[in-house]
Amino acid sequence: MSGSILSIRGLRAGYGDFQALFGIDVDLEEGEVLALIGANGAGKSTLLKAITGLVRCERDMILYGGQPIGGERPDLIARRGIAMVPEGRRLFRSLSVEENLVIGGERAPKGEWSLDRVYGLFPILREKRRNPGTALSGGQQQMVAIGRALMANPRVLLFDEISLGLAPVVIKDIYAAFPAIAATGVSIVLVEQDVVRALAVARCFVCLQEGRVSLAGRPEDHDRAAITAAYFGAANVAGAH
Amino acid sequence: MAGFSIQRSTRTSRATALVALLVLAALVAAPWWAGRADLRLLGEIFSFLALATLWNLLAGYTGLVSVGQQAYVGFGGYALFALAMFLGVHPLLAIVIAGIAGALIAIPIAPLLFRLQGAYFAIGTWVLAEVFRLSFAQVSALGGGSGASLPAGVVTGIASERFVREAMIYWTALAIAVAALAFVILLLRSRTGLALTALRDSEIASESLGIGIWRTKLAVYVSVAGLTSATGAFIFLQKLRISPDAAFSVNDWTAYVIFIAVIGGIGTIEGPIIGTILFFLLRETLADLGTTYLMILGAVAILVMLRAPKGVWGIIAERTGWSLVPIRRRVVFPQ
Amino acid sequence: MEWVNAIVQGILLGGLYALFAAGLSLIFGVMRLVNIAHGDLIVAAAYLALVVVQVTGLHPLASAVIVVPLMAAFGYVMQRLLLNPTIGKDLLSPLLVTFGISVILQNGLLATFTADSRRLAAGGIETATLHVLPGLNIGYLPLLMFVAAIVIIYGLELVFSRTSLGRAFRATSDDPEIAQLMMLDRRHVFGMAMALSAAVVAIAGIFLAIRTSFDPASGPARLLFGFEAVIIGGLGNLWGTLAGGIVLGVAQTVGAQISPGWQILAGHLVFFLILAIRPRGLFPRMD
Repeated sequence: MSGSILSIRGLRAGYGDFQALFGIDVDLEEGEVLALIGANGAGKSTLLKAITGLVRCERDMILYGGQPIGGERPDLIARRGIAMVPEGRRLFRSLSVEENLVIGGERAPKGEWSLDRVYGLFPILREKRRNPGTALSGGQQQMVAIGRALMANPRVLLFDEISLGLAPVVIKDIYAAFPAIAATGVSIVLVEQDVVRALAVARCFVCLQEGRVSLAGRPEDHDRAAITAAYFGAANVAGAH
Repeated sequence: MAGFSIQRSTRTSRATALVALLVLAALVAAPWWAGRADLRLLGEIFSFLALATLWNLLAGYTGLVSVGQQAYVGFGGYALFALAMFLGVHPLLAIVIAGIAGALIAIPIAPLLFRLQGAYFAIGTWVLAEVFRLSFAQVSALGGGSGASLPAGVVTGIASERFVREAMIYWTALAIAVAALAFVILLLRSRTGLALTALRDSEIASESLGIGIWRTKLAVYVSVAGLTSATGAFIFLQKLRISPDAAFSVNDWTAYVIFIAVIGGIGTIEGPIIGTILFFLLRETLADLGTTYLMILGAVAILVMLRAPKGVWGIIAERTGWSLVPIRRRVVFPQ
Repeated sequence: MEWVNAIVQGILLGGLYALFAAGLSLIFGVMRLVNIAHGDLIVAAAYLALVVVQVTGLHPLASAVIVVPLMAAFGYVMQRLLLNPTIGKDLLSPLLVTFGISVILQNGLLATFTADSRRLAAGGIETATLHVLPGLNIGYLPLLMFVAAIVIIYGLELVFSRTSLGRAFRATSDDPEIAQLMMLDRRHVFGMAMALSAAVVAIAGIFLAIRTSFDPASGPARLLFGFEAVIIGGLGNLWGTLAGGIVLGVAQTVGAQISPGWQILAGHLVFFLILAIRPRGLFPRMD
């Protein structure tokens, strides 16, 4: 598909001797929200790490705007316009909230997102901007992590487990910001444990299972049972018989 | 399924044991086949082998990277001089006492140094060595800053006949090297050694074990200090002269020793042996170059750390799969 | 008054030790690296200043305009070529590589400049004194060094807290993996940290050259003094490092007052004493 901004082609990757991904194919269309679902250990985070260069892979396994970028240095991939909100937030603990946001954008091209826009999206951060990033509540930290990624004015934005460990009411607040982010035209990959929530905001999805794609498509084209089966692996069992 | 068995020795290791025994027998007989100068050189080689083996145990297995082992070399040397000159202790006995004294003095020092994390521990050990050097320079009975010579009577007291005396000094050096090697091999084969190897390979595990590993590190540090002191005592018995600068020289007792361990292969038993041989080959051929020789040593060490951090033995072991001195047990499944 | 004088001189000497320490503390803070060649770099900078003064006829203090950039460039290249390949593997590799650099620097200086001790004459500034009270004289040079130490530490604090480079240093220190996602090339960030450290080393080297005679083997002692100031002051706190330098300086001058042979020893013993009673230093950073 030529409209893809990001194409994963037969991606194999892992950590040392441990292989986590066995030939993944995924396409992300420009301006689209793609939900990446799957059980713990299915390989979702590894996929995001391969895209951002934190896990090594072969060059032509990842195409960005048609160009092979697999295995490139993470800082160069970030410069190309791929940003990530990492699992567990990973704020810089010796940087204030504002510095965490600034460092996200100071080497990036100017664009839609600025300090003011991020504060507009998450007003609480303006109040707390002098606090150390890690002195905030989990939900507020997540807002900083999202803001930090937005500051890069990315063309592709990867979210890794944004609701993990947060209270439901906080998760609601975070997702409330989602339409405003998507409206800027950025392409999004959303890794989420909460399948229902992920499929509600995504136009299409990919389900991983033990390092392979077990189901992919649009949420409305598959019934709940099929998705559940792809998620937990019942499909494999059924298919074998 | 017949199950499996646990093996430690390998075919190469049994062959090695046999060769090692033959080499040892030949070395024991050296006073009858080697010249006086050769015996002296061998004595020096054995000293460096012992120092490198002990340093390797600290840095390569216990994670205690020291650049201050000259503290114990010098302490042992001075202890021997003090014991022999003031108390009339037999020099060979004085080596043993110097070793015990070195271990004892390390007991209060270790907890202090262990407060320094990681790389800062290394510099802390150096400060300790400087404290020793400056302190011994204050002792006028031992010659202060200019040092002292061992009275001739002390040396002839070992044995009146020169051949016997020189043979005994030589055998002492051999015994020290063998003792250091045996200590390290036996320690690494013990439960403690297995724990050490496991810890070296996983930092998370070492953090979770807390106090147990602290005691193990203490025990290793203290015993290495003792054996290093005994080696130092021997070195200065052979040199017959001691001064603070020579006794606590970072170049002689740490830089060379680290070089030996690095080129041979840190974290292996075989590494220091190979490294010692290579070091003396280099020294005998290049030492005339003076400062250039030392710069070459530094450059080679850097190159090895960058390109082949496991040293010469690491390369050999990787290519051949040899393990001459088996530490680990292997699970063997019948065919 | 002799004792008061010894303490005042010790405080001023602490400024120089803080300069030795600041560069060491900086690179440890950014990349957890302890540079064993740090003292030898200080001495190399002193020789470089000597050469620059001889060749250009500049005033020793003015030689900084050449020595500082040259040392910074050397630091950057050394980091990129020799140290970056070892970072993040284990403790041993970076430590031993810097040890090798130390051996090469020392012997390189020995081969080039012989073992003779040298000193840099600075047109009388090294002997000019301010008579404060009878028996209490403050030298212009120690005072200048002390003020320079305060200015440099203040400057380093500003770089760390206010600049983009400082944010890059802190972010890389906090979380090297995620810092890369901020478009930071870790190799360059580390190179810049070593360059900054070497720039401070250059200034320390120039002051060392003017203040005392030095020879190719003078490096290790400078490393140890800087290290002691860092540990006494408390890790990760540059103002604490200045305090650590002062404590060390006072210990040494008071020790020398007791007996000349006790000068350095007294400093080392105070270091171990503080390690025993306050293992995290006098002013540890609150974490």
